[in-house]
Amino acid sequence: MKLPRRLPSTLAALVCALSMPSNEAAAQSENLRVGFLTVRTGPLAAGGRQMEEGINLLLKERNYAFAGRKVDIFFADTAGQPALAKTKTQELIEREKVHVIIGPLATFEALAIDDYMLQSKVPLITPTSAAQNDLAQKKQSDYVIHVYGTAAQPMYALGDYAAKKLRLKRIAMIADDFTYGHEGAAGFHRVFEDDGGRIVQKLWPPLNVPDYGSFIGQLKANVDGIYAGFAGSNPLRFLRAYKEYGLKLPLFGNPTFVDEGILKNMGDEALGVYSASWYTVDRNTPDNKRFVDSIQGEYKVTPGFYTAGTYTAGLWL
Amino acid sequence: MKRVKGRFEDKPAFIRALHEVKLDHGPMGPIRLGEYGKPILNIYIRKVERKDGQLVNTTIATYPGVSQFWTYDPKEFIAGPQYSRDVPAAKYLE
Repeated sequence: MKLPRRLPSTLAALVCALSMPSNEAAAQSENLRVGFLTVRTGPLAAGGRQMEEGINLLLKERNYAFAGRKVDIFFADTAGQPALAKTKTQELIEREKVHVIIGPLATFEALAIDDYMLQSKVPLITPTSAAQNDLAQKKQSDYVIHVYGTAAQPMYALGDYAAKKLRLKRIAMIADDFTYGHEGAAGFHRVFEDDGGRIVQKLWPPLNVPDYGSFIGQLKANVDGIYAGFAGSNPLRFLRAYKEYGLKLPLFGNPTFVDEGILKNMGDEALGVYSASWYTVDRNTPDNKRFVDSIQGEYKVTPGFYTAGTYTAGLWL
Repeated sequence: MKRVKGRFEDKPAFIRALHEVKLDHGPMGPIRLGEYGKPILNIYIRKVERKDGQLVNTTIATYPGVSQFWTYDPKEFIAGPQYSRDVPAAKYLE
């Protein structure tokens, strides 16, 4: 017997056509489930609060909907720990069935979940700096979208500014001994030396060092400035110790060094600090002014780059 | 979400749309993903000052459209050594 060749496909098309509308209706009624990796505990918690303020403001402005689809958000506290970030990511994807994740806060957390994001094929929009040596440089992941660049990206500009505009020749560096600290310092180092400057010292205090005194005591005094690359609450502790030791050399900080989230807790020791960032509060545009006013009205704080980056991650969606 | 008309279920289209986003509004300034999938954005140089009794960061320079490669050739950059404690090599330590 000879079967009509075209029948099966015609049938399939017919079945498809009949079932499409109801499938589509069912699918369209489902909410977009957004997982959100935040930090509510530990030394990085202030940044986590800023991230949540950024996303909550955006969702409120959009009535918890993007392009007509309602949004459900699921917060998970990673405590800023890579291992926990991975567990929480797995929970968000496997238990909460999220369609997209925003977060995490720290570069080394992002590194810890990168492979898992690739496997699970759930897009990640991160307000975290990309780790140059892994996420950005070696692995091209279609599933990881960075709102901020690499840790080195703003530090290229700062190194350029220090060498070309300020005409500094010799700089000593001190930075947190983890990925974000290494890569930010690398960016400054590379461009500053390309522009004719010299890095004459590099010190790496551990992330949880109890006291900066012994490191600050080693800093060279016969330089034009100090590069200081610190995150979380470390800039506060570093600057206090820097002042106690009576040092007056100009300081060049990474985005987290004097971000607005921590600047409010500082005193005169922060005056005159140069830094570079992906975001700046005084950017004189209507969009930014509205954003700053909303954050100040809603949360009684000045937004920092975690706030702006996470808001932007939401805009991205 | 606008690009896929809210249909995030179409995953390939959703992922593609996420890469095609170009923001010209928003607090950070213009931002888009470069050909290597990482953002090209403004970098702001700032200096801490005291204004009306408060410490503030005042913007003193803007570097527009900075990429992850700065001014380096992307292919050479990617082929080069990864940044670490010891990269770039410190040639002038005293």
